[in-house]
Amino acid sequence: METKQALEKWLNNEASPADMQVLNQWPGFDIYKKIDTHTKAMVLPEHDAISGLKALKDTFLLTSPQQKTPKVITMPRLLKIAALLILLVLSSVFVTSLPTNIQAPIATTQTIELPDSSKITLKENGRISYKKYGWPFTREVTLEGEAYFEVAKGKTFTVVTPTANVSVLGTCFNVKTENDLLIVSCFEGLVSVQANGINTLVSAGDSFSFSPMIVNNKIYTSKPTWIFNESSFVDMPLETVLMEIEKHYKVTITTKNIDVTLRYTGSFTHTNLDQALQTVTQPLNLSFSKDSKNEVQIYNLKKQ
Amino acid sequence: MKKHSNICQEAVFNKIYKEQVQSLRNFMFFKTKSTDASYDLAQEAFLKLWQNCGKVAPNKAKSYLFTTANNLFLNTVAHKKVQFKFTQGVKKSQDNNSPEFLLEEKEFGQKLQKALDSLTQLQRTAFLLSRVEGKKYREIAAIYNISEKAAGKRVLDALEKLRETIENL
Repeated sequence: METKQALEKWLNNEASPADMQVLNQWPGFDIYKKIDTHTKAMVLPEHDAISGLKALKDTFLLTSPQQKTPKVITMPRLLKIAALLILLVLSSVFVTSLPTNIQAPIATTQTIELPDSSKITLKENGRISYKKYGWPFTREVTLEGEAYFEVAKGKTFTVVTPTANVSVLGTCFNVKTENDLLIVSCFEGLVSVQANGINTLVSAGDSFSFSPMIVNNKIYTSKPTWIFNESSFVDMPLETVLMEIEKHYKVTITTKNIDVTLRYTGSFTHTNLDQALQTVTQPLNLSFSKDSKNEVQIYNLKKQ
Repeated sequence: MKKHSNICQEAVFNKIYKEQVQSLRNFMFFKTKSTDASYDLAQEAFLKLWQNCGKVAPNKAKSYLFTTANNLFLNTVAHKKVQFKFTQGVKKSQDNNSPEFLLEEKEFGQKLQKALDSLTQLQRTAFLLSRVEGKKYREIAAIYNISEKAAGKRVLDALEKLRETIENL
């Protein structure tokens, strides 16, 4: 047992002098020792490291030329993350800055639902543009023409028109722009209009005309009448009303012996020209005649 | 960030080559018994190390080389039957260089060659790594990925078998 342990230790090249004494006294060790001595005299191939290394490098070039210079420019990990973040931020800024443009076609209204479920009803020929992807950050709509807004509660909602900024927090209101004209009608809540440096608050049931001077009118409907295919006017000059009819029905209206500054309050339908003309002319005691070429003449019966 | 030394750096690779190539060559020589084959296998193992320089940590290079060389050896088929050579006139502590003694030594050398041939490749390599390379059981165990005890047994079994074969010749 002792000799076997000593033999194992000797084989593992860690025999102590005591172990060697045990082994040397054991007759069987002779042959092991002889085997060991002879084995150690084995002729080994001498590996020339320098020529071997050179041969190896020639092989690199032969087998894999591109492996020779795998120079990859690596960034520190933090910089990689930073670069990725910057790229993400830049691309999101770019995407959010892309505006969405919508134009309502002639003679139809178009309803647009915004990402926060606010609704815009766009009158014919109206044009809006807003940033769809940036919507959660800035609720801002640029408007040309006329549109009715039902704004979901949330951040300030701003309508930018050529002459003013109309901002609200959540309400229903109508904005009409035409050349320099701006009419803001509020149906629900409170609307703030910033025009020419003056801030005007329009409360529910009020309608303000802003050019050339601020005029306050009352409204009596829950929504602008054009939504129901009607145009309505409160104390407006007849001239304006007739221009509106011309626009809707693509007709030319000429007047004869009429004071076009007469004030008109009422509305006309967008679906029937005769009816529309009737509703406008009758209250003012006027008459109209139509010819085939989309030409309408309005005259005063009594004066003729 | 701390810069680690990398095997892809030529200086690091050269250092590992110079340190390890001889023992790797011997290892392959024990397996193949061939000077040429062992050269090719050792060189090929280093080539593999270079190709994977980014994936192998410098302190793992040695075990990578031995494992790779071993796998490469297993892939090679049909080895030529070659015999080991021993230096002529083994030196002994006693001054006994009589012709009888030299003849006896030569005969023993021939018997040893035959005995080594009778070992399995695994036994032979383990035994030669232990005797010729002076490796500990622990190091042999690491090369073959076996336990230290199994490595010791492999070397001892080889020695026993050599003794038996020599005595019976």
